[in-house]
Amino acid sequence: MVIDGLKREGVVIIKMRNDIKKVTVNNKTKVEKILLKIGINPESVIVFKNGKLITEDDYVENGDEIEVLPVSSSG
Amino acid sequence: MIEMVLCDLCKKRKAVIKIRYAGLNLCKECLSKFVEQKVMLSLKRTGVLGKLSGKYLIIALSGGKDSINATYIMHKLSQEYDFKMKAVFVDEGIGEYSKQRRAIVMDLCKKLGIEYRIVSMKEEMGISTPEAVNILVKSRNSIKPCSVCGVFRRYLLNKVALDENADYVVTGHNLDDEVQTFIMSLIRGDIRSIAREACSLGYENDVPKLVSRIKPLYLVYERESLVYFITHGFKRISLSCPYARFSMRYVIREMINDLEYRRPGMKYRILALKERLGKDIRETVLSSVEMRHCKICGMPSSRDICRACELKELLVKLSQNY
Ligand SMILES: [Zn+2]
Ligand SMILES: [Zn+2]
Repeated sequence: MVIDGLKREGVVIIKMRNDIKKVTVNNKTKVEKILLKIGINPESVIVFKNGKLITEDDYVENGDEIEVLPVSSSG
Repeated sequence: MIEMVLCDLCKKRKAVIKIRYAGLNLCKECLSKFVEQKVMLSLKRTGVLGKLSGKYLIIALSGGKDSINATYIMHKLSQEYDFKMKAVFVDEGIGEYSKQRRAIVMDLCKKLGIEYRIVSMKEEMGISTPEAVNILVKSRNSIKPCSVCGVFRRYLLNKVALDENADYVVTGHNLDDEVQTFIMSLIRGDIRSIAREACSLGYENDVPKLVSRIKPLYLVYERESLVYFITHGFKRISLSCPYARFSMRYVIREMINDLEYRRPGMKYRILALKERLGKDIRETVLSSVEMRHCKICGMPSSRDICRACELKELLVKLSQNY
């Protein structure tokens, strides 16, 4: 049972190129915030969740896996 | 379950991109319209749109996202605006990278039913990009791979367009490319380049043998272009050019993206400044530059010998000295 408003810690897995990072987040965190936390500029990447594009205004939660693709990587 | 951000325009579909400078989250359909509207706007703005009927366009198709988008969009427009086009792929001979791109280009052209022509840099210029890089590295020359490759590719595209009797050369340059080029000119203190690029969004020029250019993605951010590419189901290329990281462009790109995040719309403003500045200084700067034709190859140049022939000669000389 999750009670609304109760802060929970969770982990989001971020894949970028061959790199995998685990970021500890509060429940429901904005993608933009996570990217900034690991030093990535949201303007220079696009983000997928389960193979589908999401935006930096979307939220992720504990257990989610996101893939980050640098815009410049695919000339 | 977390609710997904919906498109701010149709309010129906899931958003796939945030357009920060417009304050909009867009779904794939609305982004597609957004990008295509920008293409129409830049074609109209330059007056090219009204002149396309009956024309023959050469499109520089490298197999990268931008040139594929440009090809796809121009192909869609070709029926309504009644023009013909042919794709040209310049094979730089960069191993697997060039092979992969070549395959993608051929595949796309067959799918869309576009004629294509493959031009080998080795055959046309006598040297491939890796061979040129090898010579530059061995002789400790500071010229960057992208400079040689870029000059040769531009040269070949113009040559092919002349050979094909084409009216325009279409390239996939996006807004980020334009802004980066401008900043690079500033850093080099290259005022001529700024003056020349003033109307580079597709302009008519009156230089004989220099085929006019069209840049359909001139107003499209690189990030928008990538999302357009992916949401249209185009195949992503796994290899990137091994020499790209040696370019100053790489550093500038990151820097500009940083600024764009802090001040959304910054790229647009730099682009506008580039055009304004270019127009203002064009007369003064370029009036002293007389366009003539290269003594070796006869192609247009502001000097006795064009940059491509000059580089070719330099590479031969360097290769004899080590
Ligand atoms: Zn929409
Ligand atoms: Zn020449």
